[in-house]
Amino acid sequence: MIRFSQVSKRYPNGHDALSDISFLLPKGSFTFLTGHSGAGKSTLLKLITLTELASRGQVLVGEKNLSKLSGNKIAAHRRTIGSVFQDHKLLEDRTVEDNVALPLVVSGVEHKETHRRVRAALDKVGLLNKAKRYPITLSGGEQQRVGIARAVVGRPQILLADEPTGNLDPTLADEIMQLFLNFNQIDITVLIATHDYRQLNRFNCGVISLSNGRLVNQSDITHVAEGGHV
Amino acid sequence: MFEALKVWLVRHLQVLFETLGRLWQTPVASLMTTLVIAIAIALPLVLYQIVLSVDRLSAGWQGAPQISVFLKIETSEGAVDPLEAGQTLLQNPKVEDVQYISPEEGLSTFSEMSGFQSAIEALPENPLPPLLVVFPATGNDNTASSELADQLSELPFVDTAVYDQQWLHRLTAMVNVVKRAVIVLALLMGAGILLVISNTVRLGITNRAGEIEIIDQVGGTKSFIRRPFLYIGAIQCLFGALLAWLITSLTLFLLVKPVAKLAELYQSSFVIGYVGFAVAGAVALSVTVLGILAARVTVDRYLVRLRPS
Repeated sequence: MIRFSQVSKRYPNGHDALSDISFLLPKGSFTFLTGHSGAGKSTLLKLITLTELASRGQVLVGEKNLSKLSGNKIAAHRRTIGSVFQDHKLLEDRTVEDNVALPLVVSGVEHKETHRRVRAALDKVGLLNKAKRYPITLSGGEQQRVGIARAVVGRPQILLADEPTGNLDPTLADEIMQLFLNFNQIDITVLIATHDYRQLNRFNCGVISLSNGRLVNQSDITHVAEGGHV
Repeated sequence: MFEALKVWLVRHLQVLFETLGRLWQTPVASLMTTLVIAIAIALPLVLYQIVLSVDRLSAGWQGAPQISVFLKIETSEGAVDPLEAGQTLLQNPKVEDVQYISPEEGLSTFSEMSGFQSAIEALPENPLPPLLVVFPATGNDNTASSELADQLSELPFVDTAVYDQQWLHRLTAMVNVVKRAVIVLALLMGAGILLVISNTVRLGITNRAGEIEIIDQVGGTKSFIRRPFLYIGAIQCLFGALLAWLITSLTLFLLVKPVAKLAELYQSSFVIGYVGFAVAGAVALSVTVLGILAARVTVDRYLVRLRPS
């Protein structure tokens, strides 16, 4: 469950990225976050991962009030979230499996268990045969799938994605979206920032629309919540 | 519990080997850093070892302060009996003991030690006066011993009384100056090592900024991010200390022979010792701790930026 209550974010340079945002994403929901570039989508995701702190208002994730977290609790909070980035953010000097293993390595998961779970995650995104390759030798779509495998390997409760299909052609984009849907089936709360309106129309799910940092529309959120995943 | 310990230990070993691998990948840069640290350690260490040797030698001498009392052959009251004179001196409460060295004894010791045997044999008569060596009861008190020497030279049968330790105290004072210089030098070099490690770590952070960001995003704790950099500081300093020990030993080895030759000319038993394992170990340990601290402070200053704001 993610709840924003009258959240505002003003950056030190005076720019108001978000103003008075309130919404509730129930556990197991699947939601698109949309809006023009600069509307505040990335900032909103950063507030959930606690990369940024809200200037005003309250962000609740599960039972946690994020403004109360500090030090190692921030790290522990981030381990409950899987993040997918538009530019993948993969380590070029490590193999695909080492990249995917990173969240488990930082959590201190035992070596054999790490290996097992990395293979399972790579299998889910269809890249098991490329485990020993380096990211640079993979296509854009494949790199994005490595990023997704890394995001889910730690069995997060929440999956966040910032423009995950931004650089992909429609077929690849659909494949990636299907992956997110699959993870949503196992009760992971999914929030995807995108301005790919084609995807919005393909799926019947919640949409949060931002414009200039304000919430302009939150259609269907309650509908999906009632729809069964709560 | 045991499992957690194992994971922790394995992680540390992993980081250790990763860091060694990274240092190995840039051998020239790593070696230069290590060399700078080694020289910074070796310089005060060589000086320390020399001062220690001088100190040990002068401490051996200082054990028995003595006053040389040269007697007149005769006074207006007739010939001086050295043994009687010795008895007189012993009555002074400030005198602990008196030892008589006859002119003959003095001459034979002198000819043995100086190598001027033939010249001495050519002398028509023994030029040395009878000597009473006085051991003051005042022990190592320099001023009291000097006063006693002055007092003894006033006696009618005494030609001169010389307090032998004066030059030794000058030497001790000089050694103290050098000792202080060693401490100051060591502190300066320590500060130098701090800066070198700090700079190396800062470079490392810059090179790995992307990796740090990703680790931070996937939930790596601050200590997880910090660890490889602490290992860089520790390893470079440890290798630096080992190399410094080698440099110091080599330098001292080069000094041993000329110093022995010099000492021989002064009939001295002065020898320079090598740096022992205990001292080398203590230096290595403290420099390594210093390296870890420097790395930690540097990383922490960077990590502040990762805190959400």
